[in-house]
Amino acid sequence: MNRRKLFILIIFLFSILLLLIDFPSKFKLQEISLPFSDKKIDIPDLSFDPKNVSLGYGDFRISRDLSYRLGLDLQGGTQLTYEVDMNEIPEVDRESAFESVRSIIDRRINLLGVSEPTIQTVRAGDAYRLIVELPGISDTEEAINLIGQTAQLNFWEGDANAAIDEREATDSAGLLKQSLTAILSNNPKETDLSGKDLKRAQVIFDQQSGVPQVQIEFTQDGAKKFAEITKRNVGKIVAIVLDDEVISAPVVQQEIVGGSAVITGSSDVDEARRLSIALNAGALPAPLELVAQSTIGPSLGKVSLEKSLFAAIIGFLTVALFMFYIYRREGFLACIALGIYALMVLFIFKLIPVTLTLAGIAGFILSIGMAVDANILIFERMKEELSHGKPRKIAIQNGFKRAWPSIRDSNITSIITTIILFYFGSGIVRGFALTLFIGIVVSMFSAITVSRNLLLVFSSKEK
Amino acid sequence: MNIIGKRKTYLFVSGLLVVLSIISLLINGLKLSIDFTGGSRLEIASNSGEKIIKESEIDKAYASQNIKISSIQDTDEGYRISSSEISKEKKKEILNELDARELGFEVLGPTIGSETRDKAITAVFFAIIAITIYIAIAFFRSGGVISSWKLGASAIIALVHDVVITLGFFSLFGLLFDVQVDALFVTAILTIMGFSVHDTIVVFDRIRENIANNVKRFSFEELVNNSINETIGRSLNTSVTVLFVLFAMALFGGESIRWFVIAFIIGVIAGTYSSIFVASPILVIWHNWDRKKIKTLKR
Repeated sequence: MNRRKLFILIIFLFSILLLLIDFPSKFKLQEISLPFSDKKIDIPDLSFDPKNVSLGYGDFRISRDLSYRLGLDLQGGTQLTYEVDMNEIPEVDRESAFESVRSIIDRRINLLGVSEPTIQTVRAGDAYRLIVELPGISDTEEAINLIGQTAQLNFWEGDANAAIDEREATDSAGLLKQSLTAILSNNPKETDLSGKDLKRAQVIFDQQSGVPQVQIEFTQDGAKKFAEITKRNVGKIVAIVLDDEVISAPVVQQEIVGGSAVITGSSDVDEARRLSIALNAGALPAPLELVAQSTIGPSLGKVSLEKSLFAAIIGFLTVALFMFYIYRREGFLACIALGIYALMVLFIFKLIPVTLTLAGIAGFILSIGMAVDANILIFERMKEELSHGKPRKIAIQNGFKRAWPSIRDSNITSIITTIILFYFGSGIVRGFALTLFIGIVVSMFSAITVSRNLLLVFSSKEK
Repeated sequence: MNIIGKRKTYLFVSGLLVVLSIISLLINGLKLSIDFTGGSRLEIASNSGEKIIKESEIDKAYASQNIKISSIQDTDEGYRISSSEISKEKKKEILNELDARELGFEVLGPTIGSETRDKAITAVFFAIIAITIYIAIAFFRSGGVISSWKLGASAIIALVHDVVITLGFFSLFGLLFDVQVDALFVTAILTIMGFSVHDTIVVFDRIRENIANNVKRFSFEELVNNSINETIGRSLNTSVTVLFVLFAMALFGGESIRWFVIAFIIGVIAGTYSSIFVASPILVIWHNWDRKKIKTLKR
């Protein structure tokens, strides 16, 4: 009996902690002064800022971002789905081409200054897709243009005789020029060779030393230009610039004809691979096609969020009232159990973290309605046991024991469908399936722990 | 309540609804949203604040750009218009002509659409298989008076009943309110399938329990009827709580998930009805029928 009371006490304390985490306002707690004494107790450092929660004692410390993650439909923003056209790319190179496309887009999105952009790579059958999510961006045109543009790959050489270039006028180019001047030790000059002329880049290994190198191949046109540049710059540096950033500055050993060259000096395979990806990025290994886009205005998202939260509260309250009306004392306990249940689910949403969409919140609200089912099954069984003249405590225990197979069996079918939905669905469907799944699993857990102990402690005395 | 005694009436109501649903499906079909067909969805509100755009004006604006509208939905602030794919230039023209602003815009290419459709079909297929396997396993233990596969088959008939009625209602909604069937609707259908079996299992569990305990004292019909009556309180209470939250969402949750929620409401009501008034009566009819067959064979 005492063990049960202790368990309930722990559950309540835990719930208060969950309440603070689920609905936090920033606070910091470090010491508590005891009443009637000067002694202060140091307690584990608890500081709550939902963006960066850290829990710990001394050196042991866990830090997490525990704010809710909202989907685009709730905070507004743009989602763009691109398909990478791999028709021209040989089978073996597709993965690396896919990765390099991803890295270009990643770089370009960073230029947009979006707070938390995400890029998802999706393989659907033969199709290679990128799903770009830009929270807070509702000017789709700008985003589409920026992402769809061709990266600027240029080759620069030093020019002793050059007059001051007009590029110096702009700031970013000025910075570039500074770094170029440092590298080329001469007045830098842009050559006519650019990303258009690059066919592809790949990592190869030096046959004698095994050192990784990056091999670049030019188009016919590019090969001609490259031959001229190398001829002019034997023994000098040619800088390779991608989107105004110097990515490599190899020294030209000799004039290179035939449209193929290697860049040495990579310290390891990873570096060589990054360089080849960057080079490919400039060359756009495969054309992109925008296959789907969706934009949700910020006002629409905010309204949706407010409405669904309101619906959740109304739903919760009506269920609680109904339970109290039908089952009275037990119903009241069920309401408390339901409250703790909701806190646990919200906490898990933060912990995983689950990106909450409109459909996801709907799944959560639905799971509130379903979670009571376990309690109802138990109470109905209890009533039966009581009507057979059993003492209350036995009735509770038997009611629970006999309801459990039904609770388990009936929830499994819903779990099966949520798993299938998650596996086959995309986007919103997944959000719904995930929250409903979490809701169902937690409801089974809370039925055997929270509800049961609450009933045994608070309801086992005869009326 | 003598449910088994009046089983013909209850089954007639169900049968009628199922037949009407199938007729409606055959005549009206389901309107597929751009999730499955590809196209554009534009959500607009009038610039002047009030909802003064008429649907006929929308029709005209789209027609002048040569774009085919597939559905116009009322939203809280304006309209959501589904159509064939719109370019950004045409979208601007349309917004100008209607003096409206854009609240949300979506374009889905045809490949994505057909892919979603394929995925939805596979998901439904796997769900049916997985649920059937689960039912087979869940009822395998029973044996004795009633064979587990009869229990399973009755549960599946109840499931089909719920799904067909929900589909039937949506084909009617398509006709009346221009409602389209989207990816979320498929989600609702799959979840309803889970619910339906969930509800039936509770009743059948009780039937098995009662068969095991008092097979000699009561006839099969009495046993089933008692089991239904013992679980009806739970069935109704559970459905009522689920319906409470569903109605809360339908009324206050905003209109973008409203039809999704309405699909659930229909499915849950059909599912509750079928677990009480369809699954078990079918079980009894089947059982009696088999017994008659055995008797005539013995003669």
